[in-house]
Amino acid sequence: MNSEKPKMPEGPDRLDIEVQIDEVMAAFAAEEPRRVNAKSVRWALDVPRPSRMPQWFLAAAAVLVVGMALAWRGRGPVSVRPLPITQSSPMPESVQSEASPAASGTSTSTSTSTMATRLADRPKAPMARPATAMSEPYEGLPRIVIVSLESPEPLVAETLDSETIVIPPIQIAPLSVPTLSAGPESHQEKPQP
Amino acid sequence: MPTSVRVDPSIECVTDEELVQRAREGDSTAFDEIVERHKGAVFRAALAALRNREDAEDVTQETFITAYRKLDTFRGDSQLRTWLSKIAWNRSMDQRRRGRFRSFLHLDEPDAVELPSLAADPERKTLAASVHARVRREIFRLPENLRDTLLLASAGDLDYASIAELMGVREGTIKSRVFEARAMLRATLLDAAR
Repeated sequence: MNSEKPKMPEGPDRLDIEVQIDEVMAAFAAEEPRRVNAKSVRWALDVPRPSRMPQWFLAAAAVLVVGMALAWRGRGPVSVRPLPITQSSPMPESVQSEASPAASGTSTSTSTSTMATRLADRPKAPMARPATAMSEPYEGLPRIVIVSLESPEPLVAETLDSETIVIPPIQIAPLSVPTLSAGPESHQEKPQP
Repeated sequence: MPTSVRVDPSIECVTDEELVQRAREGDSTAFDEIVERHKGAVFRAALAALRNREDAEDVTQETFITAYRKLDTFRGDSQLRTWLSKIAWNRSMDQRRRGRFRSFLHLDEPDAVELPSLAADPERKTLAASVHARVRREIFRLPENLRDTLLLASAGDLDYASIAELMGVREGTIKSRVFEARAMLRATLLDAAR
């Protein structure tokens, strides 16, 4: 049966061999599973534990949970996407040109230039997304970036980088009453006698 | 007048038939007891066929899962242990036919089968261990039908009639196979000793 035939230890007789066979058989008979038990089988079967709650209560709870999940899903987070810049979008330059001579004094132009300088000097935010369309008339102006608000879900305040939000100082020259009354517009508004 | 106190019998004293009935009615603890009661026999039947502990454990687990799902089909014609062992045996045969089992490798390992405590003498212990390894090797070199029958009979979980039912042969065939297997084993080992 075998080719190499390793020698048994010297002196085994028939009785010894029978004993050895029986010992090996006894060892086999003593083998027990190590992993398998009632718990592992139950886990594999996923047998539900007997519940004391009535069936209608469980069914109602299930319906409620599913309904709440659907309602919550319908409300989902609003995705904020950057709006493309179009021609109709008012830009700071046009605002500045349309300002009345009285209102746009030196202080206003200074503040506008200061804002532009700040925007130009401001380092770009790492999460910033460039504007999708930059029309030609606005070239040379600092790029307006809109921080992406769609990735964090749920939206948390920490995600907004405070450095990317720049609120330019708006300085409005105080309007003087004499100027308004003496201006040409005020004369026109008065009804002619 | 003495009051008679009715004590529910422990589940360990309940017969297999009652356990099956209770498990069918949804008593999960009854099925737990079935698993604990018969997992050894099922495991050894699988081990006899597959000769690998890991595969045998997998088959044992699958056997009880199958048994739980098919508990309604158990008619009680045979013993529950025989029925479970038959499921394990058929699964093991399928696995053997597909060649999925990782057999034979562990047989060369000296400690693959834990031996019962031997003599305290280290020299005798070493000698016995080497002899046992040799015996194991020769057992697994027996022809398949003889080896399977010998191991199932040696496990002591099933009688010859149940083994015959398991293997689909007559009881007399089982007896002769066991005798033949032992004789062949003895002759081989004696021949090696000379």
